[in-house]
Amino acid sequence: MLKGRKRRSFFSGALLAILLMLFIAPIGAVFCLSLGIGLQGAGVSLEQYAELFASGMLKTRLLNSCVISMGALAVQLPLSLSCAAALSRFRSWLTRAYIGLLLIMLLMPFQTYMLPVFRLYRQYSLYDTHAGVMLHAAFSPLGPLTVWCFLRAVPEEQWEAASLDTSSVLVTLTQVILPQLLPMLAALFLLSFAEVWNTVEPALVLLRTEELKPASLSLNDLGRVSWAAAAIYCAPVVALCVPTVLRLRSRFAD
Amino acid sequence: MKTGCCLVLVFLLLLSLFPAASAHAETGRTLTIINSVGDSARFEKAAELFHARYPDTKILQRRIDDARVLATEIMAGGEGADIVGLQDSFMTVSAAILLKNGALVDLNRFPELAALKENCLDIFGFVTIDGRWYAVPEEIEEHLFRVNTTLAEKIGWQIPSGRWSMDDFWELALRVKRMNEETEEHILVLQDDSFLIPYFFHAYQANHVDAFAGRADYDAQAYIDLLTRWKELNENGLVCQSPDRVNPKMRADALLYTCRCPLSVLGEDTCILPPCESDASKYPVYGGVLSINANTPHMEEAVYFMRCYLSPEALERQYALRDGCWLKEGQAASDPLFIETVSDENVTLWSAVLENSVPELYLLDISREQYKTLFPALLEGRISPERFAAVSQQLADMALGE
Amino acid sequence: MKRKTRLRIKLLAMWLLPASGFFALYVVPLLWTFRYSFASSAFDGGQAGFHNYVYIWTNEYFLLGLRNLLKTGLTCCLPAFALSLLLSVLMIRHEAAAAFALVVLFLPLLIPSVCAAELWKKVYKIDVLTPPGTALMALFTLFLWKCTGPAAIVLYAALRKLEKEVLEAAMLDGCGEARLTFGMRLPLIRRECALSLVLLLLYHLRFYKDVYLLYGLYPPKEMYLVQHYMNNQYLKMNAQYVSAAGASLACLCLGLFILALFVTGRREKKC
Repeated sequence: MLKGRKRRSFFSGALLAILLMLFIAPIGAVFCLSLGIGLQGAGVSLEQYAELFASGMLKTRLLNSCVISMGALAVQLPLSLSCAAALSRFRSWLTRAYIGLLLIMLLMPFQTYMLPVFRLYRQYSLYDTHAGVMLHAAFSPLGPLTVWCFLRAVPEEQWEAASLDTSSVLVTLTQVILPQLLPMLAALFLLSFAEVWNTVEPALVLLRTEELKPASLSLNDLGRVSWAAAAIYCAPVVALCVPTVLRLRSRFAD
Repeated sequence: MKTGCCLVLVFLLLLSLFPAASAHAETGRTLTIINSVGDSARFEKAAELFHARYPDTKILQRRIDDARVLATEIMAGGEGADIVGLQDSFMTVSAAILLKNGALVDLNRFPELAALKENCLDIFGFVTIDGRWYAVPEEIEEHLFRVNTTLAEKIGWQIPSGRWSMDDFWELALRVKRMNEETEEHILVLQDDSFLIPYFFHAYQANHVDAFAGRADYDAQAYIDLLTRWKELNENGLVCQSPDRVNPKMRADALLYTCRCPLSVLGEDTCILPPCESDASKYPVYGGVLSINANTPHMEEAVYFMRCYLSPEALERQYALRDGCWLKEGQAASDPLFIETVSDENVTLWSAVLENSVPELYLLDISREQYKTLFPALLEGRISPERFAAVSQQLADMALGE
Repeated sequence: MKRKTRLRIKLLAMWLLPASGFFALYVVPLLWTFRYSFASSAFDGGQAGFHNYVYIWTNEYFLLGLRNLLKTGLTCCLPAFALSLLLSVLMIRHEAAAAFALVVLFLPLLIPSVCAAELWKKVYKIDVLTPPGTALMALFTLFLWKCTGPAAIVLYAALRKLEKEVLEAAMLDGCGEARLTFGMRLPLIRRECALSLVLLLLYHLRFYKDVYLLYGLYPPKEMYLVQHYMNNQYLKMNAQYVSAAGASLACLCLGLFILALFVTGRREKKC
C-alpha cells in the first residue's frame, strides 16, 4: 500500500512538473526572445534592453502602472470587504438583486458602456487623470463578488458568537473573520492586481496625456512587439507575487 | 461611532483623489482639429482668416492614432473633435462607412461653403459619395504612370495620349514578353510601388467595392481573371516592386512606373493616364481630407473654418510644389510659392484624373490582409486566384454585412 | 432602537460607499447604454424604438458571434476548469512545489497579450489562410495557458481551507483519491468552484483582445465572436447597435442568473 502511494505520488508529481513546464515554456520564450535568442540572425544580446532604457518613456509608464495599480487596490480591497460583509450579513432578495447586478457588470464588455463612461468622466473632470482610471478599477465588481463568495462560506455561528463579544460588525469582520480569509484575499489581491496592471481600454480612452499613460498601453500597441519590454513589465509583478505567495504559504502553515 | 469615523475618512480620501479642475479644461472656446495632415502655409492663412471673425476661439490641433479613441471622441461630441482629418489608408474604417452612419456632415448644407467650389477646379468628385460632399481636400495623391520613353521607342510602342484600356495593357505586356524571349535584354512592363496592393487592384476596388452601398465584387470573374493575369505577369518577370518602399526609384529596365504620389514628384517626366477597365471606370485618388464631425457643438465655427480653408486666399497658399494648385486658371500665378517645376502636360493629366475620380477606399483591413498574406501566397503558388477571391469576398461580406 | 435595526443601519453604511461608486461608474453608464440602444444613431438625436434590436437580432453576424461565444465558452471554459481543478489538487498533494506553481500559474496573466499573440502566431503560423481546426486549437491552447492559472489559484486557496481532519477520516475509511476529490472536496468547495467558473467565463468574455491580436478585426467565421461585432460597430460609430447588443447581452446574463437562482433555490429547498 505504501509502495502504491509512493508510486501515485511520483506520477502526480511528474504530471504537475510537466504541466508547469508547459505553462512556463512561453514565459521562458519571452525572456529568451528579449535576449535575442531565437530571433533570426541574432545571438545573445542586451540590445533590446539598451534600446528600451535609452528611451525614458517606459520608465514613466511603468511608474504610472504602479501608481494606478496600487492606488486602485488600496481603495478596492477595503471597500470590497466592507460591501461583501454587508451583503453576506443582510440576506434578502435585495442582496441577490445586487449580486446579479455585480455579475452582469462584470461580464459586460467595456465597449458596451465605454461611451457613457467617457462622457461622464469629461463632465466631472475625471478625464485624463490617474484618479479616474484608479476609481474605475477600484469600484470594479470583481472585488465585492469574490469576497462575498468567500464570506458566504463562513458559518453564521461564527458571526453570532463574535457578536456576543462586540456589537461592531467591523470589529467582528477584521478580528474574527478576516484572519480566516487572508489566503483568499491574497488570491483576490493578485487577480485584481493583474487586472489593473493589464488594463488597456479604460486607460486608452480615459487618458489623453502621454505622460499619464500606463505601460500596458505601450506594450499592447499593435505593430510593435518588444520582448524586452514584456520581460521588464512582468518583473515588478513577479517581485510582488513571490513574497505574497510565500506569505500565503506561511499563513497556510499556521 | 468608529464605523462612522472610518467611513468619513475613506470618503475624504476618495474626495482628495478628485482633481480641483481638469488639466484640459479649456477656458474659452476651442475648435479642435484632429489628424490634420499638417501645418502648412494654407492652414496658417486659414487660421488667420478664421481669427479675424472669431478672435477668442483657439484652434487646437491633436493627433489620435487609435481608432477606438477616435470613434469615442467623435461620438461623444463635446470638446474634443470638431473637425476630423481622414486618410483612408491609415484608418480602420472607411470614410464611406462613417458618412453612411451619419458621423460626417454633408457640406452641401452650407451654401456659402458650397459656393467656394466655383473657385476651384473640379476636384471634388473624390470627396463626394452618393451626392454628399463630405470633406475638403488637404492633400491629393494619384497613380499616374511614368513612361521610360527610351524603352518605349525601343519596343516600338505608341505612347497613348488619352485614356487607354486594360486590354491595351495586356497586349503591351505580351509584346514585352515576346521581346524578352527574342533578345537577351529583359524589360519590365511595370514597376508598381503602389501602397500595399498593386494599382490595378486599387482601381478594381475603387470601381467595384462600394462600402457606402454595402457591395463588394471580389468573387466576380473579372477579379479572378485580374488575379490570374497578375500572377502570370509575375511568373514571367514582367512586374516588380522596389525593395526600398520608403524612397522608391524607377528602375532603368522598367517601361512603366506607378506609385501613389503628389503632383510635384512628377516634374517633367513623361506621364500617361493609368489604363482603365472600361470607359465608365473612374480613377482611384487618395486624399487627406478634413470633415466636420456631426456631433460638434461648434458647428458654426467649424463651417467657417472650412470656408477659410477653401477660400482663394488660403488655396493660393496651397503648397503648389506638392499637390498642384486647385484654383482655376489665372489665380495660380498670384501664389507667391508657385514655381513652375511641373510640366503643363502633367498638370493636365493630373486634373483629368481628378475630374474622373473616386476615393481610394480601404475596406477595413482587407487590403492589409491581401498585402500581408494573400498576395504572397498567390505569387508563391500556395493558393489559387479563386481562393484569393473567395477569402477577400468573405472578409468583405463580414465587413459590409454587420 | 432594536438590535436588528441597528445592525441593518450599520450594514447599510458599510454597503453605501462601495455601492455609490459602483452605481456611479458602472450602473449609470449601463443605463445610458440602454437609453442609447433606442436612439437612431449617435449623431442625429432621433429615436428608433426597437429597430436596433430587430436589426441586430436579424443580423447573421451578430447571431454568428453569439453562437460562437457560446460554443467557444463551453469548449474553453469547461476544460480550463477541469485543468485548474487538476492543478489545484496536484498542488495540494505536493505542497513543496505549490509556491513555485502559484507564481508560474499567475505569470501568463501578466504577459502582455501582444507578446503572447506573437508567440502563438509563430508556433501555429496563423494568418487569414490558417485552416479552421488549427485556428481553433491555437485559440484553445492560448485560453488554457492564460486563464487556467487564476481559477487554479482560487481553487487551491479553497482546498487549503478544508479541514484536514475530515479528509483524513475519509481516507482512513478507505476513500480513494478520486472519491475524495469528487465526493468530498468538490462539494465542500462548490461556491469556490462556481466562482472559478465565473472567473473563467469573465476571462472568456475578455479573451476577445487576444483573439483580435491573433486574427484581426475579421477572423475566420468559427472565431467571430459577438465582441467582434460590437467592436466593429463601435469603430463604424454605430453606437446604437453596440448599445443594443450590450443591452441584449445584459438581459441574457440576467436571465441566466435568474435561472441559476431558481435552480439553486429549488435544490436548497429539497435539502
